Amino acid sequence: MAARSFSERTVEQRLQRLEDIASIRYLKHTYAILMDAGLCHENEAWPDAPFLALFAPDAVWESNVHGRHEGVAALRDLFTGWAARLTFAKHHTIAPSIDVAPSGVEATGHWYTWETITSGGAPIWLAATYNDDFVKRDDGWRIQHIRSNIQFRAPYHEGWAAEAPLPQMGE
Amino acid sequence: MAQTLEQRVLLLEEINAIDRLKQEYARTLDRYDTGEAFAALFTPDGVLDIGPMGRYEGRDAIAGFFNGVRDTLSFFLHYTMAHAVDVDLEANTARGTWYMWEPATRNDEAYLVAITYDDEFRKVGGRWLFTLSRSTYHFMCPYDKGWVEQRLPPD
Repeated sequence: MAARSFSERTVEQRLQRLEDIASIRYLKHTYAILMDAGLCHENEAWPDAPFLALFAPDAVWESNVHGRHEGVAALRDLFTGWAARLTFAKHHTIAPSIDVAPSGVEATGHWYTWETITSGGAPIWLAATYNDDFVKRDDGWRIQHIRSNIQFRAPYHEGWAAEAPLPQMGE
Repeated sequence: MAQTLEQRVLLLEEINAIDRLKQEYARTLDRYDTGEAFAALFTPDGVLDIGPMGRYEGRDAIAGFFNGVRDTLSFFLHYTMAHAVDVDLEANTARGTWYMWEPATRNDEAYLVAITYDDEFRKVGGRWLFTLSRSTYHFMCPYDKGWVEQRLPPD
């Protein structure tokens, strides 16, 4: 939250920054929507395009629970494995904090997500934060790196007191 | 009064900056940063009014409150959403409301908390800070009991 000087940039550059923030919010929302459609088995082509097209080719997905997975082929295996276990998922992904780098082609974003999942037939609450990197290509923003810090995965009938918080990766 | 294009862009930037500050408030709490780091989000005369959990005036009191919170609350996540922000560009002040949904662990028991915030801000040296964060607690209840019989703990 460093103080920013608006006066060094033109009004058009400042408007571009606001548009970039809106585009990254839209991208992360689309990630959640398409992830949920896939995990709910509503889309036969998933996780292929359009879902994997949201990522840069060398993108990384990592979490404190699932480890680190690099490159779209590895992400495809990771997500396909989730779909084998889950029959329902909703990623309620909210509260963006987005910072666009001075270059205008790199950005970071933080979100909270509250997930309702059916895993092995059982209802699960999953609470996590995202701390992600984005890159701007000629045709728009792409996900470069997702870091998901899972706080708890709690059976609906038990709650999270025994598990939360799981050990976190550094931001 | 007609606004220039520059003023219209500035208003959007300020609304973004204030929600960004409110998210920093949530993240600072949820990382269990120091009370001093949390208090630095307030002006020196800022007030933290958290209803049943007390009213704290000035950075030292705010820091002291947060440094002691872990004794009873060993875990929480502040899902802070749906902002409505009004900015006075001439006065460098603003007000904002948010909803907040919080899974927590209180005295080793899972809790759910629902709050709305009604906060006030001042821009000092190019940076927005809280002058007042006011929480209204709608419920703070054991997860396994829900909010119907008792919305707030008796203690």
